[in-house]
Amino acid sequence: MKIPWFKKGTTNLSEDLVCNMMVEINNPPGGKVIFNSMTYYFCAPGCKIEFQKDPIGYISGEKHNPM
Amino acid sequence: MEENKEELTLIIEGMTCAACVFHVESAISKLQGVSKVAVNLITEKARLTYIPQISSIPDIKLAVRKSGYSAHTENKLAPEYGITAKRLKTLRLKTVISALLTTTLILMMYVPIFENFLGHQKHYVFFIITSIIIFGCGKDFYLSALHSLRNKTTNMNTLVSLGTSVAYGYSTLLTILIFLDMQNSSSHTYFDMASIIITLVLVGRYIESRMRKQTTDAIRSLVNTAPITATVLRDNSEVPILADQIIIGEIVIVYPGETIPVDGIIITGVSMVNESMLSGESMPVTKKATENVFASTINTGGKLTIKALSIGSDTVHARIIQLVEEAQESKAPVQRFADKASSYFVPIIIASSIITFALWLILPAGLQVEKAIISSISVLIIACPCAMGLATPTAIMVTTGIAAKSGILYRDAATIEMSSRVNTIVFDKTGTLTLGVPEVIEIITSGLHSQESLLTFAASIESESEHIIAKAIIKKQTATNTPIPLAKNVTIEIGKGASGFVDGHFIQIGNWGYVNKLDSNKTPPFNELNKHLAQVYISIDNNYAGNFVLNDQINPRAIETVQSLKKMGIEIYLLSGDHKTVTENVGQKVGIKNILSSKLPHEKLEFIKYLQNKNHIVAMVGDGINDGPALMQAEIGIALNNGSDMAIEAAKINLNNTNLLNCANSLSLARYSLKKIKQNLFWAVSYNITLVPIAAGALYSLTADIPIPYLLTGLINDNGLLNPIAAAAAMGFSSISVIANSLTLKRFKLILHQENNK
Repeated sequence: MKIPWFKKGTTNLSEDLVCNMMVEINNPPGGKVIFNSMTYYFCAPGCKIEFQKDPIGYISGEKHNPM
Repeated sequence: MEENKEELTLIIEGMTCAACVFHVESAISKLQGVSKVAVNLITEKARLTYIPQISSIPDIKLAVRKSGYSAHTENKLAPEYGITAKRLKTLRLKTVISALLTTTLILMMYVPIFENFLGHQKHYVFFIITSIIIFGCGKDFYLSALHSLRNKTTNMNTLVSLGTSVAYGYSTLLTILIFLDMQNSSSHTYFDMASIIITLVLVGRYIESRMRKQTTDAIRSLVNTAPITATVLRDNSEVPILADQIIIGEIVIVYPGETIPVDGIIITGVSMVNESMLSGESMPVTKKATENVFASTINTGGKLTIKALSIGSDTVHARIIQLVEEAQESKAPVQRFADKASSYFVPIIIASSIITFALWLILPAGLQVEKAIISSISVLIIACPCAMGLATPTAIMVTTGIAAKSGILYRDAATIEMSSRVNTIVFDKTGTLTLGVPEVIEIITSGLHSQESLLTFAASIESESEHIIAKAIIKKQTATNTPIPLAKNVTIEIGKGASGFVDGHFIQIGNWGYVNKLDSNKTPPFNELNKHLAQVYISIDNNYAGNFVLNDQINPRAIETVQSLKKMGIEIYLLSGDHKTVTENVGQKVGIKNILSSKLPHEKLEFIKYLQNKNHIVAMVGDGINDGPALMQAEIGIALNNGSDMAIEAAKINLNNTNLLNCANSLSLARYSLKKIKQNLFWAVSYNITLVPIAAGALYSLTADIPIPYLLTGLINDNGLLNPIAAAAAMGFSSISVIANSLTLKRFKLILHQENNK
């Protein structure tokens, strides 16, 4: 697993549910997906596309694709 | 006891005609616990359901043996269709020996040198040669006839045996009398007649067997596509094993050029796969990871690793073969009648022969023993129940075979018969005339941007979305061959839309509410057709910029299909649950005038019933998923399936959904097939009705007094009667011509998709 991009003192990080990397929510490299009023952030477009195929699977934790 | 029932397929040997089929069927049916018996003359198989506790397999085999035939269980690994190569070889050997001996006999009888050389000993030599022919080469006819006699039944062989025995018996009697000096040695014997008849019948049967084998070519080639060996990954190494040893879930490796042994999902690799044995489509299909592949399709591209999901008899290919076999072994209603008629046919012919014999003895012309014998033999020999028995199954066999190869599966023979009478076809819209996949049919711009730039902006954002509409927009953009710029900060709101930055512009795509977040009182622009179609709106820098109109994609073969059906004189209806304007739009594009829209499933069913009440014979085409009731109600339900599910129960005809044209093909092939069946039956019946009386001497008054040219004496004896040898040739010709006629079905031309015909 890659070391997530980490800035000292910042707490606005979110987990990419597909690859489990930490993503900064202010500028997510892979963009966002809003599903059932919740926002999910992604490290790359690939993860975002993957997430859309089965959002519930990733949110429930049933599915994940660690890189 | 329902759960104890088992299905069994037996290979039956020794059947020659429809009467045999009837005998085997009734012998097995008489057993307790046995039901649904179907015997097929062409595949030489009996398929039945039985309860093992009541009647065991040996019991069933014994019943078949008692009825005069032999039965053995099928070898699952190498299923056989029709006559085996070994039996064909034996038959050829017998035919050749018989022909050689008969030629020798004829030379001795009719070439003066030999005749003079042999002197009055000649009858003994003739007797020996003929005995070899009859008891050596023709043994099977007599054994089969004896078996039947023991069971108080008759068949084709009864007639051949009787006819030749009369000639042989009479000649043998004469020979004995000559030997005893009670008869003049110049008396005419009929050994040549018996030998030639046996030879001709053997030749006929050999040609017939070879041709019957050809009728099962298509199914045999379908079965033979399954690979015998496979490579699997076990303990990280590639292990070659037999294909039937693959376990579900195992990783199978398929190299280019190899046949895929299982139904499964691709784990790694990209390749072109030839699926023609399933779909009839000759173009290979690109397959990549996560996509399904099917057993017996051929990997024509790169190395694939596949996870096995279904194996053996559970694969799509195996199910298709089973469906085709069941169809081939089923019986068309017209054939049931022919089978029954054949079982009465032989006794009637024997009676006719006896009557002929008697009439020649008591007729005013006086005691004409010789003529009586000749004409009664002719009657026995010329009668051909085989032709009647072969008329239907050979045609059904060829039809189902070529149909299966083209991706058409008929449920049974009755389906083919009924399909040929269809005069009305009803199409469901979605998934048949349309693909069920949306496409962008129109781009409406507000005027601020060009259609092209709207499409490029939209495609750029949508390339990060998984939505089906996003795919339609990207497909449209890809067709323009302009590059898609990279979007930044794309946010997808599932169920609503997507937004992001492209070339510094903020783009939003989605439903009206999503795009016009700020001004939700605005109403979107519409026209009459668009109102009922899916719309996607786009805004650029928070200004409404235009919309994409999407419609279900028209099946590229829909227009050709409708045209072909019209050419066949079939009335076409379009029935849909969709709104009027949308349905009419599709109808107009494909050329259907009779359109019924906004129909619920039960209303579709009612409409089919309505048509049926007006004496229409209706075929209903649907995707098989939500049209079940209507498919069942129609005389012929045609289901378009995707490759993985080729056997929808509700449907009488299952088609692969890649080729809609097969709707037309399945009906026109059925028509052609029934035309052949009718020709065959007409030929078989008229052959017997015409030639049996001629053989009996009906034309004697015409031919008696005219001199018969020497060349025609093979046909008509110098006494004005039909030559029994000609009768034997005619009989063989009759069966062969019926099969040959069925084989012409192979020339049936499928309506093919014209790539440039838009």
